[in-house]
Amino acid sequence: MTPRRTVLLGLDGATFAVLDPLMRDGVMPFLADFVSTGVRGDLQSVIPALTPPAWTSLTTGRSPGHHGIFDFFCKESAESHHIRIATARDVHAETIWTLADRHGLRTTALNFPLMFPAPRIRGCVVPGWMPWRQMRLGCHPPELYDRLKQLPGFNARELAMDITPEAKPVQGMRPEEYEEWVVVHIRREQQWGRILQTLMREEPSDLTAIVFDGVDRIQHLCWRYVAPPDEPLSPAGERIRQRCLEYFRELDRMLADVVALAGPEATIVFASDHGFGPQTGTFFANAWLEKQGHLAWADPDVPRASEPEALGIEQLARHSYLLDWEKTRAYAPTPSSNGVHIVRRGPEHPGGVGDDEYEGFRRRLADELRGATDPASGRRIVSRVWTRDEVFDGPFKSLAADLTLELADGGLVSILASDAPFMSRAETSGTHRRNGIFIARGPGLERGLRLAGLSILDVAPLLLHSLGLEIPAEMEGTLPAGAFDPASPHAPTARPARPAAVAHPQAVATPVTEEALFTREDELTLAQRLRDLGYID
Amino acid sequence: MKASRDQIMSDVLGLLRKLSDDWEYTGEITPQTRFFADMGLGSLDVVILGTAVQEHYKQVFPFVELFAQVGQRALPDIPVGEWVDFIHQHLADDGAGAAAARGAR
Repeated sequence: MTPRRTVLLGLDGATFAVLDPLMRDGVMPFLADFVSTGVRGDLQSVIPALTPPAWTSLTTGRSPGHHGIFDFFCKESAESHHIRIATARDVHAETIWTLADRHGLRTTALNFPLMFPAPRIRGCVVPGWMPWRQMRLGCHPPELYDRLKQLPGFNARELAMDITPEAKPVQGMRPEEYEEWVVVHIRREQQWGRILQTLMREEPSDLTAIVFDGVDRIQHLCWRYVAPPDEPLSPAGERIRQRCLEYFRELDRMLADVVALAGPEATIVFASDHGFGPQTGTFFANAWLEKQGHLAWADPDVPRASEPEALGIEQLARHSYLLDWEKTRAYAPTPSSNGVHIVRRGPEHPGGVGDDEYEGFRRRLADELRGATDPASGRRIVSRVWTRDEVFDGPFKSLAADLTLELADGGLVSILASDAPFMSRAETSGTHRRNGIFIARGPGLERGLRLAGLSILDVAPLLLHSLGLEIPAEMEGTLPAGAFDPASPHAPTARPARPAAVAHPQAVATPVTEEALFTREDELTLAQRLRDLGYID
Repeated sequence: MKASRDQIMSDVLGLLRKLSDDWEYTGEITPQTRFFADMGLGSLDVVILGTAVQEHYKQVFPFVELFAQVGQRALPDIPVGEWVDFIHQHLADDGAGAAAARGAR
């Protein structure tokens, strides 16, 4: 089959709960038209519904236990309590980029996580989640960065993950700062759009893909302004909402330009890595584990969090010496993936849980978590608890958390010590949900169709089909044959079935403030720079 | 035979000088130049540099141990020379690193 030009437009964190009203109200007219002439559906994300595992699943067609990415961070080994930042070297499944390259096709891939070090493929790569000073190191081919610098309006600090604006949602902002922050993200998306369009014009690829991540960032901070408001906003709130709408208007214009540039014969796929919803409180998982007698701090006078927004991003990796490893039997290492790890007995952890008691301990701990309540309201804090075996399969599942939590408000845990295991937030913020978006249009695809039951694992097979490539047998997703007009010559010849042995990830709502991962760098003192990774007190 | 300390120093200084043009850092970069106090890098920058070094030498280095050690100091910082010494000390003596280093020059 001849490869068709194929374009994947990633909208990080996009949800129809926000996009539908924006399309209906004329804020996103291009997207509204596109949806009406294409196929749409909710896209179920993986567990955890978090940027690194989700985009990696979308671009490999494999679930986290098979590709090895569960978080922004990974454990040094299954037995270790040390964690480090995950890189492309930790992705253990073939991506659509390298697969296309093996078949002689060219790819442009922009702003995807876990792409550093960049794959040496035919085409161009600018990885996402790179600090601005190192963007040159991430670009492939190496001379690409010098070309980007020549583009009008190029600003590496804003294009990359510059710390100052990204830290603001965590540190707290005044209403006027919210507006400025949204405007920064408008400029940032414009830069990515310019890069994308330049590369599409000057050296078009068979597969072109980009992630616009401002949707996620804006929804984290401005959910109460972006989501259709339940009651009238204050004048200041209304101004913030208008800025947010300006972001979506600009995004819509840019998407229209990109799709026009791709041409009428291209297959265009919009997808998000997860959806979004409100978060109203914070569960201090390690504080709760301490009260239950499963965790002990090395210093009983360890500082206690007093704010519900304090998630402990800056404490990452510091748990290695903040916790008493002779007494700790369970802990939450990161606030990003809502995972609780059980400490297994071994030379490093003499007080850990032995093999003979593991199953019983895990079951009791899961039951205790399900019974955890907010003392103020009496409501349950945890809505679901999954064991590792329930939701992960594959050779890397031993690196996953022993228990993964879904909180009642869909929110994320804090890893900090606290006197109160649960705190309500004064203002609702946004956080991840499992239902993302899928919209596609192109040769052979139905028009105006709503499709149910789509998994994020199904996107890679669809992209490969459009590229004229065979779908590898090991891919867990399947080509969504129902999206095609059966009379079209572009429709798949046989309706593929999902492999019986492969269960889709079951459920999750594990949100994260990704923007918080690179906090405060510009304001940090010398010592704080190392403190940021938790290597010093 | 693994790459010599001088070879590694040359590679690292070359990389940092090239990158520093993008940072608009105008100071001279020498073995005494410190990552944080002098060049103004952040911890994530150093993590990315470490990943680039690993990619270059096709080998994993225990940078986490180095960070932990540096973090205990009164003035936690890493001079370029110490970074190079650490790489040299942990570079595998199997020729892979040497080949990578030769290829990069």
